Amino acid sequence: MSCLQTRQLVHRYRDDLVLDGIDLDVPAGSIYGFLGPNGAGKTTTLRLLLGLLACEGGEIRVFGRRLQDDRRGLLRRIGSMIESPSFYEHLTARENLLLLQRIHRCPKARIDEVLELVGLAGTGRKRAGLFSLGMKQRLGIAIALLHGPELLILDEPTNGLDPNGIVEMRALLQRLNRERGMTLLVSSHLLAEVERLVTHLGILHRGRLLFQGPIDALRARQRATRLLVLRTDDDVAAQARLAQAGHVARIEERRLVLPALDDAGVVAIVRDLVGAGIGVREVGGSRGDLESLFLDMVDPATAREAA
Amino acid sequence: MSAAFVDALQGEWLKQRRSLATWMVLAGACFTPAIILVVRLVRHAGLSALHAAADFWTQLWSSAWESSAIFFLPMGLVLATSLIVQIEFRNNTWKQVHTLPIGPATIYFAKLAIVLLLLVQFLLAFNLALWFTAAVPAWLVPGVAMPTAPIPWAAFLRDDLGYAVGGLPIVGLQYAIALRHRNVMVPVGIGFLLWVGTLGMLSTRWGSLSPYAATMLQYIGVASPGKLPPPVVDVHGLALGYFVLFTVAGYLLFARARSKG
Repeated sequence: MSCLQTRQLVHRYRDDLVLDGIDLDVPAGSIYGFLGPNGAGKTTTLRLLLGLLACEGGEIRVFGRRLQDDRRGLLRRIGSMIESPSFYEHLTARENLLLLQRIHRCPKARIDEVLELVGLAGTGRKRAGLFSLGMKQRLGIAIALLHGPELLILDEPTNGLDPNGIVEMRALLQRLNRERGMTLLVSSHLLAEVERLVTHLGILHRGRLLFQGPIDALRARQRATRLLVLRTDDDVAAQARLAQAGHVARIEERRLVLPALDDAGVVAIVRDLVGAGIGVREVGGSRGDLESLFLDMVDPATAREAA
Repeated sequence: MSAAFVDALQGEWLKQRRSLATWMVLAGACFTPAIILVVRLVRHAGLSALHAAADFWTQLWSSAWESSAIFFLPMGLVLATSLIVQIEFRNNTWKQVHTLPIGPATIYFAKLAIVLLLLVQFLLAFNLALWFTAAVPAWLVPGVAMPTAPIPWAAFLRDDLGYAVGGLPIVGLQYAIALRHRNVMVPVGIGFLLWVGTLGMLSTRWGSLSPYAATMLQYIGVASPGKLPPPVVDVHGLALGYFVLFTVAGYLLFARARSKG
């Protein structure tokens, strides 16, 4: 069952088409990674989902209801942190939460609970403006969690965090998903960062959704698209020889590229080529990780260079 | 008043605690009474006679309001309104405010109510500071007693109410402008230019039509009657009309913005 759905979501900035018919589908209980390079349209999408931007075309449904029909009611069930954590720097962490607690009308005990959860319980009278970057990020998360939302929308939550902070943030988000059944929509421009966190992934590039589905489906696609790369003395002769053995190879930038083989298959074709008098100078493979697949989707030229 | 509005109002009140706007309002309200007090403490020779005068309070009231009605109240409102709105821009919190489960009317009017409370705070602080201007010399200077003349409360309250109403169009217009500009210098600059323009126009027949003129006209009308041309329309009625107009226009612009936060 979907927690959040968009259909043909469109947005323009002046004459530029920023989002071109986005069909997001975030399953309930999932951690959905919303991935794309900077400027792909991730933040614009998230702002539309929260009603911070007027919807120009398409439909947004959250918990099965149209956003425009009951935005206020739906916002009670959503927590968010867009672009950067937002809080009042002249107030303490507790005061920041106190003013929101009144509006959300949640029990005061929730303030201590979320401060404890994000590790800010001991900040006392220290003003939030004096917090470190990591503490500010955690306060942003505490604010988003205060009213116990069912859906948490986080825009680049690890931005500016050190490696340790990234690990901590990942553990916190996984815990929220696992222990509280919270659905998370987390945007990022780094696949490596979300790869270990998410259960589902949407890849956005230049306002279009290039992939959407479980992370396992992307991994399967990655396995299917792994390549074997050979450098030989005579690529044309080697291509013909491989064709005789039933392998379809193409010549690309003075290399032979063919679908990946298992170890025995690699040994067999190298033996065959050498036996035919064709020198094999290098045997390799495409990087074959999700990062290269992602790059291949959003920027094929760079992906080829990287491979 | 809805419960959501009260909750939002409490939140807004908490936000402005320890903010620059609060301190500016208090400083602006107490500045002239403090100057008068210092001058009286330094030149205290004729102070006992002054304190014994029958019109002590009206004289003090009039001299304290001179700079406050012309400068401190209008410019204080320009600054306080801009700074209250600036709290959201400076902290990058508009997006958080707009994702709360409250409507634009609640957001808009709760924040406006805080600015109006600051206006009330200005008047209270001013009145209290004025009382201290009379009390402190009586405590510190030998031979000077507390003024014996009764405090004309009714007249002071009427004047306070007049200055409060006179300040409303400044709040309404400054609020509408400040909500649309991230850079605090824009509303402050516009407010300053309008204040200077109003000062320049005051001696003309049309000067009374400026939304920034009411507090100045109220003071000059009492302190120096006949010095300025008579107002074209009732000053306080016009001020209320302007306030309603600016508030409604500001709200429509705020609620209909296509991009929030």
